[in-house]
Amino acid sequence: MNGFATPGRQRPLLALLLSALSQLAMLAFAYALSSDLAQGTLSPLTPVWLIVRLMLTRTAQYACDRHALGLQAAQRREHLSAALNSPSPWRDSAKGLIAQQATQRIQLAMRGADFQVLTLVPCIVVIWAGLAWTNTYLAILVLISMPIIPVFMVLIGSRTEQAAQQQWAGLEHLAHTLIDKLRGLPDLYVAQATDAALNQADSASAQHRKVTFDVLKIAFLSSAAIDFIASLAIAFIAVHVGVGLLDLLSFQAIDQIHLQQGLFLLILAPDVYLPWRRLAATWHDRMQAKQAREWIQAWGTTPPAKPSELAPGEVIINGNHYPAGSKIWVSGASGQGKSRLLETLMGLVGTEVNIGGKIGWVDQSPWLFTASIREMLALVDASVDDSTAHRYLRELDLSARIHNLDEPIAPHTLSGGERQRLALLRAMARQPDVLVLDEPTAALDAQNSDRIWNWVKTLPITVIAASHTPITHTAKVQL
Amino acid sequence: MAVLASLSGVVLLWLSGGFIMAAGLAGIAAAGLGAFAFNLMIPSALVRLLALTRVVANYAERLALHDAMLEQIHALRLALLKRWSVDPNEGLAQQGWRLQRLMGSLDRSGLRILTVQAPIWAGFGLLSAMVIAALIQPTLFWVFAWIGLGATLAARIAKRVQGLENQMLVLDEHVTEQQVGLLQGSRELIAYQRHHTALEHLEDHNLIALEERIARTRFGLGLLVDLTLVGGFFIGLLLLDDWIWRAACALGLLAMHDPLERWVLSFAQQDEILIPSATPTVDFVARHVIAKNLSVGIDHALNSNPIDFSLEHTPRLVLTGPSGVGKTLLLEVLVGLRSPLSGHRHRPEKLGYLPQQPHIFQGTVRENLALYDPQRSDTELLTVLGVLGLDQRLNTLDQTIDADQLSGGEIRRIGLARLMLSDTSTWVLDEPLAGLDDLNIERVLQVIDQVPQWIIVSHDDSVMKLPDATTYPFPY
Repeated sequence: MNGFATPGRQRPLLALLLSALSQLAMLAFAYALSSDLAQGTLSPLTPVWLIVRLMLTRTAQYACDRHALGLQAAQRREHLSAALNSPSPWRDSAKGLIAQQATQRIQLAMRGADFQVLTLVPCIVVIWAGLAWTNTYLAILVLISMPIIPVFMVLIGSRTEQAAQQQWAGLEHLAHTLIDKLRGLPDLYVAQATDAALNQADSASAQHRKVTFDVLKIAFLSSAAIDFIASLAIAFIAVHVGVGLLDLLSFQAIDQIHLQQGLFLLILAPDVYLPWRRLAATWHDRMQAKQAREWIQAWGTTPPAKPSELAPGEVIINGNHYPAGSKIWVSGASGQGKSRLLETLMGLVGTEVNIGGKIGWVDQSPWLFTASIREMLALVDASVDDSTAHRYLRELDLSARIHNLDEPIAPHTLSGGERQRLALLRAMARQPDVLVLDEPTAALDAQNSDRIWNWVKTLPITVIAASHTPITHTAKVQL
Repeated sequence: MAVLASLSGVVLLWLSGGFIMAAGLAGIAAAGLGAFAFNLMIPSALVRLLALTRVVANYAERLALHDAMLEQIHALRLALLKRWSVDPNEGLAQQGWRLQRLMGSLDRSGLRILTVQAPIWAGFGLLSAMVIAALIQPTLFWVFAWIGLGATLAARIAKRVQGLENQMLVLDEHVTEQQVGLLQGSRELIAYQRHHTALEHLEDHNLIALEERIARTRFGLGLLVDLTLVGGFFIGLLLLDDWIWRAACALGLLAMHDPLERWVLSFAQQDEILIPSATPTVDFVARHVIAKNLSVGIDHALNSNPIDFSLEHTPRLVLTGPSGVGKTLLLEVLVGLRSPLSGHRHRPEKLGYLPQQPHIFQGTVRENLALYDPQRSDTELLTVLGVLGLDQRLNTLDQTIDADQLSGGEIRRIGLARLMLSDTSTWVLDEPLAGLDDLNIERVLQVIDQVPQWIIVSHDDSVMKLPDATTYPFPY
């Protein structure tokens, strides 16, 4: 999509390798420590193995973090591109926030749960091989206890997922309710009618708090179950080793254990189950990342409109052909679909563009963001030189407000009329063949709006203007 | 779900009971079956019991922590709403996605209990365990002293990098704003066929660089914790001569690794989000809307001369002036949404205000119209819709309103309908005629004419036709 590769599939191989090495270092450390303890010696290698083990684990995590960060920029662009390609993205600009959250969640999962999944088998195999090499009987017992963990995880996990999905839908609903109330607060405040809204929000939030807690009660059971099995199994090994060492049991498989082996087994035992416990602790992040991917897939895509084959400046409206240089007034009462007609011409609705050449567009409520004039123009591919940009500033009566092209302009410091004129400047700087205007003078008083119209009419290009107030000397399209 | 949870609890309890019983049985059986059963079963039953206690305690602890977290999030949400309900100034500037973000950050601040408070409590637990161990085996004091020193040093460094997390939030906000901005502008970008190249303008390299720095810092802090533990481990092996104590010390230090690291990292977490306490601001109630010596603006005064008028003497005021001089701001000050820079303003307690963009609440037509007076009958609501020419578009009161499907003119007329259905005789109207055609302008003017006192800002000169309308030029 859009030249960006899907980055999720690449594996952090370096991190995987370091992880496996770190488990080997753990074996070496356990062996050295148990020998030291059994023989009453103190080998300088023991702390060295420990350092190696800890550093390798940490470096593996760091390598995994770096791997995830390396993919972040491409992931973010992929998510944003999905949002831009979804149908009518402008209607739901909160998708920008969701795209950002999806990037964060996927990053978090890549650094935690995804990595744990990847290293689970190699890590367990290395440690288990160490156990098996020392005592086959206990290693087989560990092997038997292993499959119980995923069974528990799946059993409880499936229940949790279902409950968590309902709870998540509840959270979205709650967030929407709260935001709706917050946005309406100024209106309610002026009318001194905020109490009812507060009470509604209070009960919605309290209800959701209760539902969430019920979900957590089950969710935590799965990690408690893993903890339980791991604790039992470790205790089981400990008891067997203890009993074997004390020669209390005449069972050959464990009777042969001597002190060094027993200690080696005891030091290693928790590490067989550690990957499972880490995975259970971060499993939630993985589910959240999965959910984020589902959101983005649910957006869908729209095929791009077919480019127009008309000559620059030519326009077809409702089957009528207008030559380059026409001045067209789209007339109609409010709510009759003037804006819709303009969107159709430009290919935002439907699959066809009916305007030839380059378009410059001034929307009813134009899109502005904090940026300098130069940045704004670069974004819409406007190619005028500085002196022309300055001339437009003067002609549109903006030069008192905007002094140079590099000064950042915050939209909220501009009045409605100034925003409209700034948008007109931006559209004109594209040097368009067709200028599309949607109620460009709604926020201007009569004198200012006459000025704008007179200026626009002198332009040598095609102008299509939707307005409920009459525009003289134009071809009229009545809706 | 709750049933499943309690069932599992019962099963766990039954299991533990089973082990205790097995232990008892093993004791009895010991006489008959010999040492084998006794020796294997008694210790394993005991250890299993310990394991079970540990798991149950862990589960209870997690639930208690999360319960506290949820309570805090709930309280924060309400505090925020209460704060804004008495002073919506801050809320005014917030866009939809920002509010959504704010809700998210409330949830995050609840997580503090897990990432900051819980590790600190666990730190105290660790400390008491170390004290007890050192009392039993005094040699361990040196090991723990070393670890205490290293951990404190790491914690101090962690505290110094606290700012990084806050910086990251700021950069993240910036990137999100850009993304939302691109989507808001996507109509123009798609019409210009520029929406793919616009992705190049996304500035997230600073955010990624900072995240890399945070990852490096965490790596460094973790390494410090590792070295501290290995040092303690070495000291322990060197000083202790009994192998049992050596083994206990080595295993204990390995078990300490994770809680100690979490304790250190808890100092790098961001500061708490504080929602300031609420202070009521409507303390300027009078019988009429009055401006006395008023000066308005965001940071500097927009009016050159003080603004003075009273609706008692001139009950129908049309506020005039070129676009951008501050007329909307003056209206917001008059109704109490903003504070004046200087001077005084008064308003009646019951006041109808029509902003440029009234908020359409999620819900039905009825809920939206009867917002200020829920007692209104359906007949009244339908009459008002008819008077404003909205009855074609909103033909049933139970239909859900979708604000996206309404034009600006329709939204303003719904706002006006709310005022008509509220018990008010003073109105403050910001551009009530914008986006309306001639027929609807006539309808709205007739409605406004029924109201004895009002202030209007409008670019449309037809408001001047209303009887008794007086012009008040904004003194810019």
